[in-house]
Amino acid sequence: MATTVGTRRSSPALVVAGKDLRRGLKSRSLILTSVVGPLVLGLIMALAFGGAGGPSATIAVVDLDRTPTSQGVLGVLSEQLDDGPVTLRTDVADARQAVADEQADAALVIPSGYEASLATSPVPLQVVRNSQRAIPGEIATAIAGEIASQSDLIRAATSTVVAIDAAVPPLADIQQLRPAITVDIGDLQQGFNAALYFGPLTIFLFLGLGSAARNLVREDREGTLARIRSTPISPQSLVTGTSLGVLAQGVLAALVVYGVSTVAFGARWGRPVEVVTVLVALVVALSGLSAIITALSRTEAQAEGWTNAMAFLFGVIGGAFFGGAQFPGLVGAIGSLTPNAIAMRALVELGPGGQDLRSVLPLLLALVAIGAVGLLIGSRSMVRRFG
Amino acid sequence: MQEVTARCEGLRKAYGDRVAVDGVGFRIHAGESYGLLGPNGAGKTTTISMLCGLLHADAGTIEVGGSAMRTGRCEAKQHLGLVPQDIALYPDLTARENLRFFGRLQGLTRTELRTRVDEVLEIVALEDRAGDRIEGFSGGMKRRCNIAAALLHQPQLLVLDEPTVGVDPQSRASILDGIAALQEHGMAVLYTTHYMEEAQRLCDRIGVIDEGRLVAEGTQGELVSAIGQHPVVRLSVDGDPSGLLAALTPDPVVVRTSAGDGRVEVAVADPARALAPIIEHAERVGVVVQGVEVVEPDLESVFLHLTGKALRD
Ligand SMILES: Nc1ncnc2c1ncn2[C@@H]1O[C@H](COP(=O)(O)OP(=O)(O)O)[C@@H](O)[C@H]1O
Ligand SMILES: [Mg+2]
Repeated sequence: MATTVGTRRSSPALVVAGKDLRRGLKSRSLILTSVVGPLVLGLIMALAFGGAGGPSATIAVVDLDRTPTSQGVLGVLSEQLDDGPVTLRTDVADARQAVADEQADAALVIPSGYEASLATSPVPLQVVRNSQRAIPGEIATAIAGEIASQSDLIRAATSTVVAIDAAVPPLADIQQLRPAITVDIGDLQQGFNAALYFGPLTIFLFLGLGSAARNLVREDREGTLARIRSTPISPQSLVTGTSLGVLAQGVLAALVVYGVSTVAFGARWGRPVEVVTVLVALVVALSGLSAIITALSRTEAQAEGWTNAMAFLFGVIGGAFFGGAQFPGLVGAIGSLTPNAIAMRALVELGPGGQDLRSVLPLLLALVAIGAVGLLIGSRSMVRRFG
Repeated sequence: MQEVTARCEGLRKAYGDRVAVDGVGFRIHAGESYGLLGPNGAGKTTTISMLCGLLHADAGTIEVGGSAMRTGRCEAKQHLGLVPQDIALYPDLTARENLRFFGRLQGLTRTELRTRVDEVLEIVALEDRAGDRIEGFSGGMKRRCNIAAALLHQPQLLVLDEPTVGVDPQSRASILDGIAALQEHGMAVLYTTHYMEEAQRLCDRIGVIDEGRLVAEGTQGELVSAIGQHPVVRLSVDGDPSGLLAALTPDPVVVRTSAGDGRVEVAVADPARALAPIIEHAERVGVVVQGVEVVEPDLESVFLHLTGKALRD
């Protein structure tokens, strides 16, 4: 067997994938649906709502400490979170109720004894989360983490004051310490504020991948499948190659949206390796769903109809629109299981506070599992249909 | 004993209650061109779909290039080049891109592809359109490129399914010339058509197919003589032909005679040997012969005889 490039036979699956990718790029259909769509939609929403469109949240704050320090923290939060308003609550039960009633997306509790604890070992702020409001919950948790990480600074400053005065410092002194507890909502969203682009991307990607998944059905109708099947390519290679082509087109489209929205529109997605990993996992999941839909549909038109319906349904209930706004109640709970919601959650969690890929591994595995099951079922049905 | 390139036996395929192919079998020898002649819906495409491993046969065996053919198996398909009835090319890709793709699936290396793509483009006279997309081609050019894609790997058997349907006369002539040239290079050809003239012109042997059954098989001469049809010598004459008819009837070279308005038709077994005696008889009885024409019986009449219907209806 010869090994130089010129005389080597290419793997049939890769030949098929390469052809599909080439056609996808030439026809520009996937590029148009999956790249231009989300960028334009995202840009319009960004212009309408301002900013690059991070998820916004209403966070209730309960001050149980009622000390100058806690008042200072509160002041900083009110100032920094002015685009996501802070509402003050009197006690924890009240805050819980507000979150449960969805008057607030999450609540932060400054525990009593907070100021006193700074001198020794600072107690962290508590977060009241609604499991169906994942993203505001993440933001509140990130704020609490940020304040905790700066407690050392506060303590150092406070200790100094205490050493001089041997008494609780007056409010004015705490005010002077404020630079030490700067909480910048922008920094908190360092990992992800590109929801305006990511949401539409998931829908348009779904549509594009669905169309690519129907390639074999289309080739059957147009006659090229007969010629392919008259050549020595195994049905498994053919179906594998087609799936690889679909994945390649999806990843490419997602990367272009990521790149262009970052470079041209200033969207912040997070650290590149992590973002790309999440995007690939999302493409795998959506390809799997498209493969199942194609396999279960009797006609091409039926497959297209189901794909479109599913893409928009998932988009709406999974929070792909309006910067990641999610539905309350059962719909929101179901929505949080959609691949787009899972991927968005992973991107948000990969923000600051030291979250790395390992912390979102369950989310990534869920996406890959959806994709793997779908691609497996879809492939088997395609092999049976076109083998 | 000639080497057999392709062989099928007892092929059968039903779509629900409708039996599309019923017990078809034939052999194609190396370098031979075999025609499957029958009207639309006769079962030609279904037969070759099974032969090429695209369609699972309900019954029967198939062998191409010495390997058993089945759907999902690769071995036998290496020896096969299929030209599907409908254009099987990607309209959005160029001719060269299409050929490279199918060539790679047929197992050609990159080096082989580089030369073969140019060679087949030359065979179908599309060298100067290699970089153009198929969607911009005329019907005839698409047909030619459709054929080229089956030639890249120089298959032992080239299967063409009605390759001239819907083609202008000029492209049709060039396609037929091209196929004749390929036969000269020793490629076995399986050619389906409902055009009698094409089968007559291109095929060494012909299988006549109707309603899923092979109703006759042989060379054109064999088929014609098998149904007892004879060539006819047609004379244009001046004067009363009755004397001529009387003189011709007892002659052993003559099978049958008939006469009309200034015309005498003489069915004969062998026109080459019968022509001279017929002219002599005419001179002897004083009938002036203005013109002579030999009409060979054709496959149309064979088909009519076998099935009771015309080939094109
Ligand atoms: N996929 C199919 N489903 C049902 N009937 C079919 C199918 N393909 C062909 N047939 C029927 O089988 C018969 C033979 O068709 P075909 O092989 O295409 O004929 P030909 O190629 O000689 O025109 C026709 O009656 C046709 O209607
Ligand atoms: Mg046909």
